[in-house]
Amino acid sequence: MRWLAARTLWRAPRRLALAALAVTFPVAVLGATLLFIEQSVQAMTAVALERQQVDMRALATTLTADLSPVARNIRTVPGVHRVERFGSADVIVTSPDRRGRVTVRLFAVDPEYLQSHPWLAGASALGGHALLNAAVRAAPGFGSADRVRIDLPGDSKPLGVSVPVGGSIDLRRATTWFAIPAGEVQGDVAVVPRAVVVDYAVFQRSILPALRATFTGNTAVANPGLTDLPPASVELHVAIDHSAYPSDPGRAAKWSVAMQRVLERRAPGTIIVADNAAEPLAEASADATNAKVLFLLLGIPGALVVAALGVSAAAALEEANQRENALLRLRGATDTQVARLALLQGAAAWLAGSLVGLCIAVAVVSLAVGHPAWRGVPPGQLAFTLLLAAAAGLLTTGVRLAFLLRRRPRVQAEPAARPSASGWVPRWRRARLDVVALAVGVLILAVNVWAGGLRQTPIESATLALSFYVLLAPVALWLGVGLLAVRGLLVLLASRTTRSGHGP
Amino acid sequence: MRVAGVDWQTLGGREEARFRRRNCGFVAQGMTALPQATAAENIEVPLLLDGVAAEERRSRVTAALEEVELTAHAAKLPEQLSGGQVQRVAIARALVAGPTVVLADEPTGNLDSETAQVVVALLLQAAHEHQSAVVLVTHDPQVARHADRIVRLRSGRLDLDPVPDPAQPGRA
Repeated sequence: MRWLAARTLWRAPRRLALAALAVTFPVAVLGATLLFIEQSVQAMTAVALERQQVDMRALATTLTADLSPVARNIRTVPGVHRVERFGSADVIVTSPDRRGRVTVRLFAVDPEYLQSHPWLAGASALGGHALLNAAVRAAPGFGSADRVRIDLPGDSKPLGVSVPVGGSIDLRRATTWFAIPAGEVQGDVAVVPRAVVVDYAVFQRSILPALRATFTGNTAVANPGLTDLPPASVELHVAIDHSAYPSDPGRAAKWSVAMQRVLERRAPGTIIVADNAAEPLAEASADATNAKVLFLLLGIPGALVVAALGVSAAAALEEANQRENALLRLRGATDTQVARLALLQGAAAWLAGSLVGLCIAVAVVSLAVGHPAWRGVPPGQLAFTLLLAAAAGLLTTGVRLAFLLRRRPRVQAEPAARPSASGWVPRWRRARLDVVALAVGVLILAVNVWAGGLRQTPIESATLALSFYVLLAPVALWLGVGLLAVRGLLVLLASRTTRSGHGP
Repeated sequence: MRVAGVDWQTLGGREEARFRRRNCGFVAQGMTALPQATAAENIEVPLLLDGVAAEERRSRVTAALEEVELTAHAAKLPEQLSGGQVQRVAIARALVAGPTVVLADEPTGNLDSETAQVVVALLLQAAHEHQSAVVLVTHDPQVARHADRIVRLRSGRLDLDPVPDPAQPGRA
């Protein structure tokens, strides 16, 4: 049967084209959907990390630990972008006229830290100075204070460190600084209204020795039951090169855990590394899974619709195929031989249709995302996506062949009247289902746009809650566009048939 | 109905296909050639299906083409042939496997009377050479007069002519 299949391909390419069309539709739709999902998912790591203030915190297990060599060591780890010193402690600040005396959270960073973190708004120059937040400024005695005196709380010996005030700082967005750095509630933000920021050099020279004398042994960060900010901590804030994370959030989450362990192994026992990126990446990974499910729920009906329509369009071949099978059976071909011929022709149609469909999918997604659709997608994942789309074409081919071979051949010499020739028009065309579906889809979207259903509300923040019926819009649009494409195809075929006087 | 001593209604699947391939030739009204195969390839089909060796296929197809006087048109597709030539291809294809019986259903239905006479004469002559019986259905009395025995179907009833004398030569 190979010779006949080969001659059909060579001498009747329009038959191959029409059969391939039945494959092209579902492969293109499913391929485009899957590729778009991949592109969306690949962008989610960057989005998840975008708002990350500090990727990892290397917390000293004791205040006596010297983190300078640790910082130098960590800087050499591939993927580490920046390492910055950070210290914090609960202290008492007194105004120069001694009218004001408040408990505050003291933070110590190098002046460069303020430049590299834009979420520290309104910061004045820090070098050798202290910066007060609005709550401290509002406390009695601090409104116009040009110096503050810093002491440790409790029964500690008075420290009496006097630091000139360099200005103000807005810490309302510095959630990382107020986040519990370790333990079961890691990441929870503690409510501490008053805060002072001092130069790390001042902290290291004048405050840290007293803290070391007060808090001997392991710091609170080593306590798994930590439920509040530690009374004092010294740490390194590690910025990871975000381009080093795998673009898939699931893989990025695993990579982040591995990076955390690598950093911890650089100073075992000296530091505990808290992975701040783990939670947003895990959320992004879950979001990616939800997005995949959602897109597939929207894309699969579209693929099924166009597959059914593609099979319908290819049904124009049915008569020619049935007649050919009948002729072969009449001349003594067995069912196996007829089936083998159908399989060979189906395989050729699947191959051609899949290639064209995948090309269309890649082109459409590339146009939609503005760069090649394969960029950023791991090769294995890309291959799996393309194979899955091609499998949809294989399924369509299988269904078409099953219909073709299921029916017993009618041994007839004269072709039966074609539906188009006899004036018969499918019910969906008579009912203009394509136009109706498009109108319904557009109407749903228009109503939602008009009612503000597609706009974010302040409460929703970065998320957008959609009504369930909004999801009907893409389904209706899929159906409408698919049917419209088939209507156009059938009109084209009918006009060609009329012109040539022959069937396909 | 028995053909070559076999009740073919009792056959099924591969046996039926093999029996049809080796014992029955078909000529029908209209376009019964595979449109994507040349005249020679159309004639070759029954031999290919029967697994005949390439060398023997070639010689039998060549002989069949000569028999129906289509050697010059061997490489043409059916759409490049006239109606009469297509029917000659059908005759050659029906007889190339040396069948016991050729079933012809209105083989001249789409042909003008002159071509019809040529095609029928060719069919009967070729069948005679192959020693094949021909069962031919026709509405054309001019075609029917070539037959050894005529069975008329009138208003659903069979009207049988006398059985001819087997000793009388010249008819298939």
